Formats: sequence, C-alpha cells, structure tokens
Amino acid sequence: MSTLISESEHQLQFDIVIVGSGAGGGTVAKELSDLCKQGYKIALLELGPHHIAKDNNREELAMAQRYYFSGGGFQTTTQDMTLAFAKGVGGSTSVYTGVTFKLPESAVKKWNVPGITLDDLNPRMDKYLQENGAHYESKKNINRNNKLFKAGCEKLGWQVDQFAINTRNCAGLGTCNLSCPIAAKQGTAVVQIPKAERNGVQVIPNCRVDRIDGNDILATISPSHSSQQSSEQDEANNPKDLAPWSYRIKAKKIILCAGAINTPAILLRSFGTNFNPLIGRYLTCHPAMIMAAEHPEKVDGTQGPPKNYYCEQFVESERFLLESCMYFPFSFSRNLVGFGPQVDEFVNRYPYLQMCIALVMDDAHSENRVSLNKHGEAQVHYKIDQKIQNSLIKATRANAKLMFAAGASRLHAPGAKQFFIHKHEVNQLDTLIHERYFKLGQVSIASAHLMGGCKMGDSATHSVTNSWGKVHGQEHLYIADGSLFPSCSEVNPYLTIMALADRVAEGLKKDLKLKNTLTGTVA
Amino acid sequence: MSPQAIPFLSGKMISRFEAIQNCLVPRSLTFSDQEKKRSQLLVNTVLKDQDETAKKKLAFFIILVDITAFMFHARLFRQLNATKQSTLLAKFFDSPIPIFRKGFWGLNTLARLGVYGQKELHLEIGYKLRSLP
Repeated sequence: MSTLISESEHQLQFDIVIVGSGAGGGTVAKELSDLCKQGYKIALLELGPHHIAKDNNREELAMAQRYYFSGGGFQTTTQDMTLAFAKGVGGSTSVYTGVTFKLPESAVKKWNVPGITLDDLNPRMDKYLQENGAHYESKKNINRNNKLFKAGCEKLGWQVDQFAINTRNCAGLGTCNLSCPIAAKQGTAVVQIPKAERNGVQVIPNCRVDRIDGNDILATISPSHSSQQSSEQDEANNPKDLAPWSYRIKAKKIILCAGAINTPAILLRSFGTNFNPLIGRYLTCHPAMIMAAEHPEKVDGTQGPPKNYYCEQFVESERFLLESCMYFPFSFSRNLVGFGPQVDEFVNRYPYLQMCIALVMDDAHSENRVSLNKHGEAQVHYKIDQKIQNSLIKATRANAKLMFAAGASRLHAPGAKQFFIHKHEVNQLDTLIHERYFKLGQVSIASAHLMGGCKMGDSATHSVTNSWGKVHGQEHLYIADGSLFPSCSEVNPYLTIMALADRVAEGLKKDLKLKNTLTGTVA
Repeated sequence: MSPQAIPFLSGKMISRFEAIQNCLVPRSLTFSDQEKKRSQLLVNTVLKDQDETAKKKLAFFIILVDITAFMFHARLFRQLNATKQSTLLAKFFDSPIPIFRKGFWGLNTLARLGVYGQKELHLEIGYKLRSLP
C-alpha cells in the first residue's frame, strides 16, 4: 500500500526494485524471488502494460503500436536505421521469434571481462534453455520458406544449422513478432515473471522511471490507455493500491533492466554525463537488412514457426550472419527500395516470396551511443560506417545467391542497380549489387538486437559496471540487461542476457548475505 | 482544439499526401472512399504518438514536393502527369543529398503504411492468418 507524502507524491518502500521486465528483469525477478520467503519486499517495475495474450488479434499495425516503442519505428538521429524494442510486461521477449543461441566463445574472448567465461555462463545458459523449453522444431512443422533457405545453403555448400526455438504447444500461427496470442512462446511474461509473482514479487506495470535519487526511484504510474483492453487487463494494469500518480519508491537495492536504450537513459537522467562518461556509449545492434525472392510455387512463409535456419558461413570472414525470416505485409513493403508499380507487383506475389535477413556483427565504437534529447528521452546516435556498409552489401549478394540456388525466379535486393534481379542475371550479382547503388537513407536498415551502453569491465575508467553488474561507485545500484555487453554477442542475444542476469542475481544475493552477516540482520 | 489534437492528414495536407501516395503506391489510385479513409486513419494513428519534430519534418517534406513541382513545372505536384510526378519524386529518392533521401524514405513509408497497413487488403495480396487452435 502506498503512502501519500505530499499532494504531488506517493511513497512506496521495497528492499529490492527491478526496473524493466524483459530478458534481464524477468530473470532477475525470478532468481531473487525466493528472498520474499525471507521477508524481502521486491517490486518489478515495467514501463508498459500487462498485456493479456487473448487480447492479441494479430493485426500487424495495431499490435506493433501496442507492443513496440514508437510502433516499431524508433529511428536513430541520422534517420538511416530503425530500432525495434518492446514495452509491456515481458519486454522484448514478448515479441522475439524465440530463436535461442548460446553465446559463442569468439564473443566472450572479445569481451575480455575478467570472470565472464563460458565455464561460468554455460551452466546458466543451459538452465534457461531448459526452463524456456528451447528445442529443435520437428521437421514436419518447418515451412517451405525455411526449407528453401536450407536447400539454398546446401546447394552452395554453405554451412547451415537449425535454430533452437523456445516454444511450448506452438500452433504455428507465425505471428511471433506481434507476440503470441496463445502464450506458446516462452518469454519472461510466460515463464519467469509468473514464478516470481507466485513467490511474492509485486509487478507494477505502466510505471515510468524518471530518475534515481540516491536510494529512491522517482516514477510515474500512468493510467491504461488502450481502448481494446478488457476489464481483466484494466485490473492487472491498475491494482487498486497503485493509482496513477507520481511515486517516490524507496529501495535498498536497485537493478536496472530497462534495456540497452532505456537503462543508459535512466542513468543519464539520474547522474548526468559526468558521473561516468561511458554511460550510453559502445552501443552495438547487429544492423540488418531483409530481402525477398519470388518462387514459381507458393512459399506460404506465414504458416508455421517463422525462423528455423541460419548460416554462419561468413561470420568469421565477412562478419555477417544469414537467417531465414518472415515479415508481415507492411513491414515487408517498407523494406523495398524504390516506388511505383513494381512495388505493388512484388507485394502482390506475397505468398510466393521467400524471405531472408542478414545481420552484421558490428564493432563497438564510443560514438555509437544513447543520449538524452531536450525532453529527457533517449535518442540513439549510430553511424553506419563503411565497414558495416561493405558487410551489408556482401551479405545481400550472399542472400541473393542463396535464394537463386533455392530456385527463385527473381528477387529484390536493397543496394542494387535495378528493382528486380532475374535468375538469368545470377552471374552478375557482384556488379548488380554494388556499393555505388548502396545509399544510406534509401535502403531500409533495421535492428532488433540492442546491446551495450553500460558495458561491464574491471574499472570505472573502462566500464560502467563490474562483471557482476554492479555500477562502479554505487553500492546499491546494479544493471542486468543487454546494455552490459562490451561488444555485440554475434548471435541473437536473449539467452546471454538471461545468463548475465542470473549472474547479477547471484552477486546481489552474495552482497546481501555479506551485509546481513556484518549487521546480523535479515530484511 | 490544441495544435497537437489536429490529425497530421487534415485539410489541404490530405490531397497533397494522396497525390504523392498515388504515385508511390499506384494501388491507392483505385481506392474507394472507404479505403481512402482507412489509409488516412492509419497514417494519423501511427503519427499521433510520434514526436512533433518528426511530424514537422514530414509535413515540410510534403510541402517541399509541391514547391519543387512549382519550381520546375509551374504547377502543383497533383496537377502534373504521372510521368512528371515519377521523375520529380525520383530526384528525391536518388538524391546525392542524404537528407532528401531520408525525407523521401519517410514519405514512402507513410504512403505504404496507408496501403499495405490495411488489414482489409491483406487477403487480396495472399496474406492470411492461420486460425487459432
């Protein structure tokens, strides 16, 4: 129950407050929830609402508006890349495709953080692989879009592997990126947070953290706005004791898990830029481009799990990863470079289209960063440098080869001389897809893997937190999300975020135990 | 009514935008009145929560298309024939100046949103949802 301390502010008190409920926050909440039995009061704050799965009507635009920041159209300051990240209980684990990768050794070596080793992370990742039901989809459930990806790779002699995906009782609805209406996908809203709640963690949705003031969190709880929400959802969004208002939430320990964009933003609003000049910096994001190819027979990529295969053939040499993918009509259309009748013509062939995505392993640069705009909201500065552009061009050529090898009759490639490239032109791909045709602002580049901004390390000179996620110089403040990554993970990042969050929870428990030993108290 | 409450597509902005949309996504040329309304509603809904600066840039760019049309042809964009319209928009699309390309990308995205964002058209292009179990 909150206490009114002034006309303008209510007060709440907890032992531990977790900010954000995605892969990091949901995991930390579950891992710490056994402390509730010892009397600890734990809250999980979430900016967005508590979505109810059955209210998901799978409409592309309506669900994008509901689940994503800026409806999925958050742009970098240079307006040449769009970032997709989610809001609502479960965070971005509500809208991922469930693709589950373990962090590769090459990424751990690049991170070079003392204490962060595969020996430490592997058991944690294995725990969440099991907890989230990660498995290889049965071949009979794999759709033709994915089979074409595999066939293309095999024909070219490229290494192709199957993703593990984390679903249970999947009905193959194909709308994972709009969240799952039957809760088959095992995000934190389905797996970890319900366990945390059962153990006593209080989930507070619609709660925007403005800033941290010492051990206090200054936050605003908003009323729910969605006209489609059911009364059950209204009740979940607005528990009777937490009316929309400004709150001062007192906490002995605070764990920021608001993601690679919003965690740095909260720190910058709280401490300014002088506290640690590395806050917000070294953001990486796996810049990605999608492309599509038309086949003579129907592909029907929307039926069944959207993503099953990937190709690592070029990760070492050219720094890009190829994956099968599927996009909805509008999302797909906005990736087509050009305008006029040919766009309509291609979209009209939607059921016959194979789709692939290429993700670039971007280097961590200081100037790629989160800062605050004049309203105190996060803005992202990211330069798509020549190295990234070169990788994207080579990746586009590789995807084109793959699609023609799979039997495509024609395709559309971003950064190409012409709108359609036909099968008979397959030997000219190097000249038809070329840097002279690749223009920023003309091609659609997107990212859904946001990493870095509060990198971990061994000193405040080189990092924002230590390897246990504790912010340097702040005994009560921790970070447990993708912002901890010193550089990109080279693979889809959620499992790594969960492993790091597990580690942060372990470290925090040790800190509490040490403190209690010294003071002879419990919560 | 406060300025924030005015939908992005209202008044003269509707005809300006639709002329550009017809050129970028010709499917919209055959739209019924109902489909046009849906297109406007989608654009206005998506832009409602976008920041004011982004909306101002888009509005400016739409007006810039008319200004450019007037400079080259002494007519508004919607008064040009289809070939001239395409040629003019191609200058923005392929401009050596990044800000023009980015402005065009934003406008092109908005035009497609109004068309391919309409769930009623999805069946026509062969996109259908699998039934819930």
